[in-house]
Amino acid sequence: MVSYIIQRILGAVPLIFGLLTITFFIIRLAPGDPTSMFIDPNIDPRTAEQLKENFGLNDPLPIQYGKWLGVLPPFNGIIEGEFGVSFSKQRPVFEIISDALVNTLILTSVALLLDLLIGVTLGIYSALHRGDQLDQAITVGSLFIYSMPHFWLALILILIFSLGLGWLPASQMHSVNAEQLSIIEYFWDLIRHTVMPVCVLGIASAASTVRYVRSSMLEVIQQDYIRTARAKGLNERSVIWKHALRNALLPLITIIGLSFPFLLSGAVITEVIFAWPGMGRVTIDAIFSRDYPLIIANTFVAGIVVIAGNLLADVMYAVADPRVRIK
Amino acid sequence: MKWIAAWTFTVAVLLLGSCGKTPLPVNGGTVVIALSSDADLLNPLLGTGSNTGAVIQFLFPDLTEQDFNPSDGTLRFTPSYAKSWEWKKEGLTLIYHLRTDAFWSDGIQVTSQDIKFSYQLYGDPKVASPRSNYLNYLIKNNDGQIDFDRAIETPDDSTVIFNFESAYQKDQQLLHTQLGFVPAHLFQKIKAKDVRTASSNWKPVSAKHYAFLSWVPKQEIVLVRNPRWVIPHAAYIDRLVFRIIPEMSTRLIELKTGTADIVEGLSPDDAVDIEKQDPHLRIETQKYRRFEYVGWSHLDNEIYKKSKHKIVQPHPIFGNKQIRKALTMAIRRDELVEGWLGKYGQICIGPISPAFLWAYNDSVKPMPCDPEKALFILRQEGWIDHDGDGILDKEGKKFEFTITTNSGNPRRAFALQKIQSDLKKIGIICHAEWVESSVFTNGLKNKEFEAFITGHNVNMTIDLLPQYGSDIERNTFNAVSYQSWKVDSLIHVAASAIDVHHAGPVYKILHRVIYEDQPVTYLYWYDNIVGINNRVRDTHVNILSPYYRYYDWYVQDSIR
Repeated sequence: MVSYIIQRILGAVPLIFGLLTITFFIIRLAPGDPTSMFIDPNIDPRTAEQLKENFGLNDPLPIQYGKWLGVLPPFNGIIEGEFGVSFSKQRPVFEIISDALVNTLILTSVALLLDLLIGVTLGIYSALHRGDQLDQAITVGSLFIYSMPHFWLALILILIFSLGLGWLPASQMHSVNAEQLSIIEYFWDLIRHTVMPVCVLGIASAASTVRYVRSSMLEVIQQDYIRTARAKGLNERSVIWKHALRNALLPLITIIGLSFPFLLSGAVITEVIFAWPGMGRVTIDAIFSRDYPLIIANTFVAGIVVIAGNLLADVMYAVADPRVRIK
Repeated sequence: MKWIAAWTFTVAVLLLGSCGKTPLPVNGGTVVIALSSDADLLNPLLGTGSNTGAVIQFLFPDLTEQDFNPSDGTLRFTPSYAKSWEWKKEGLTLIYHLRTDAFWSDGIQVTSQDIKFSYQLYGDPKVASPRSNYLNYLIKNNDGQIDFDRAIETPDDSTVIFNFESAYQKDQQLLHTQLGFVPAHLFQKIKAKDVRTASSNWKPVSAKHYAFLSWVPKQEIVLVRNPRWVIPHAAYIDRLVFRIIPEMSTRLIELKTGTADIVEGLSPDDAVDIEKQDPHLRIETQKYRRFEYVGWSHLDNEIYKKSKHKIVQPHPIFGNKQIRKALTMAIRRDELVEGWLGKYGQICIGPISPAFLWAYNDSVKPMPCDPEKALFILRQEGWIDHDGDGILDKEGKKFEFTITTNSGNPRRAFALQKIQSDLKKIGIICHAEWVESSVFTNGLKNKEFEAFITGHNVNMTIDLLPQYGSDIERNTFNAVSYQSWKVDSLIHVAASAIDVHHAGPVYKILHRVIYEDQPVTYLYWYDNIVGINNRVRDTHVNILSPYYRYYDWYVQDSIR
């Protein structure tokens, strides 16, 4: 298993490198440029030109690529792990990303837990009580929420719980002057700020998880081995929780693995609406300001998350299902 | 009895005296300002964008404070870090006499050396300051570079002398010498090429009413009161918190729920809604600083591009002044104002702000919104619906073009749809194109659009050359490629007048000449609408700034 994981990680290196190279060329060939914010009648036109020179954007594309790799002077490119300084923020890109990544992971990990908790519970209930009123209500409700855009759900929640009832804060991670609170109050403040964005991400994802779990469970409980288990006199609880559920959740492992990048990308709109200072906002700002080093570093992180998610899914699958275990 | 009468009289006087008296400002409290995006760098040499400027103005000293005189629309300059100033050598030299009781937040005294050193950084190409053009009028050496030894003199710590190449408008001289400055004792240790990445840009040492406390990127910037800065008096509010909330709807809800105290850039609908439904909020407006217009390319973009900016040939449609006039008449600017801006806007008739009474020509009247007259002019120019398909045509070519604007701006989207509908009524097909802001800005610079909707934020001094100067290669912001020798010479005459009141009559002529030429269709002036919680008292939003005289603000509650 360990050698399999190492093999997969080594195989990911050229994949990530290729991804970054493609990103490098695409963003430079796309219209717009990083100095367009300096194109203004009130700003000296020489500023944009000087900054282009400072950022190395006046070099031919192959030279820019060589410098970016680190094979041309000053020999500090991504081969040495140097992703550079953000054009717009003038800070090392990973300094910017590290702050944002933690905030996004707080949001998305809690949302993923909520997704699984709601999705698996309701999915199993729905499958076991197929056709009853609650199953129908869950089916309609999950389809309704699944087809609802994130931004709309977010705004509705803000209108109800912030403006209408005044129970929850509408934006940000902390209240004003939160640093003056005690530790317990500080965490309670963080939880209150987290509730709505987590609900938007978690409930929306749970709506699809419910459907997956329901259909998977329905398929499993109609299998011969479940009938055999019942026939040999096992009680219903053992049949469902020990035999049926383990098999029904196998496809869910793949979904969880693939959910990591989805939760990161799905958080973009949620983060903007709730002013959550995470990766989504860093990515959006980087793209709009054509901050090439920051876009590439974001792509790197996103690529790592996708590959790690897939690897995790494969490993978990192997752990859960002896049939696909690798020797 | 006399004693009772005297007592009653005294009580009555005291009661009457207290009626209507405004409460005295008190120190303390926190004011939360919601911003749409984070600041970039907290350094006056480098900061760009209105949100960065909003924070910087609380931190870095000014030589003078600006005031606006609404009776004649002129600027007034009052002492700030400079106690006084005077001109010598017939306007070639401007001398500031500085205070000696101003200190940076690390305890070091602010001196004239800070100013000179900061200006040297402004002029250094390695720093690439967006405000380096403010130094253009200072004395230069034979190589055309600014000669800082002669241009800025500091005979002692409390005197700074600016020497100009030639005398020009005194208001502009004052404005050009108002650039913010940084502590020399910190920045002298940093190489010019590293100024942009200096940690001081993230944790600035300041010298004004507020000092920097903390900055959590994409969350908030917190400033605390600096009681030592007393020009003209110390600020009352203890803390200013700038919260970064990108989504307008969320900012509005934060304002309504009382979590944010000040929010700029509200929509007219939101402002009307607040005035009706939210008694704890008030609306103040910054007027006549921003207008929007439809630009019509005067030159044939395709030929200009293909010839690598060498062949300047009139645009087949918009190169004709009469056509531009007809288009202006066909666009119902009155309905545009009524439909979107309401009382928060008015029809625009030129690039000079109506607030600048000394330069604004109030005898220029807006062209009538008259589609029939527009059609009459177009027919005279040969644009007639020959084939009866409802579309005007001339020499076999239909009257059809594309207007481009940037996406994500609902006001411009509304204007574009209205223009499409108005022009369709007289038989003109107008296609709409929305592009991302960065692409749009570059497209304007490279003259890629035949028609476009954009806007302009006017400065407090008038400089029309970048947008209306005939040298279209040099004046890259003349996106429509307007060329008029008359306008060029009038701009030159106005700019060389020493006193604004002498320049005023020239600007009034200029205003009329430009409007008659209709280089663009001026649409509307729109207000910067600011929502303010009533707990924050004594705000003075005006044409200069939404944060004008922020040091007068105070709160009298214990909410924050």
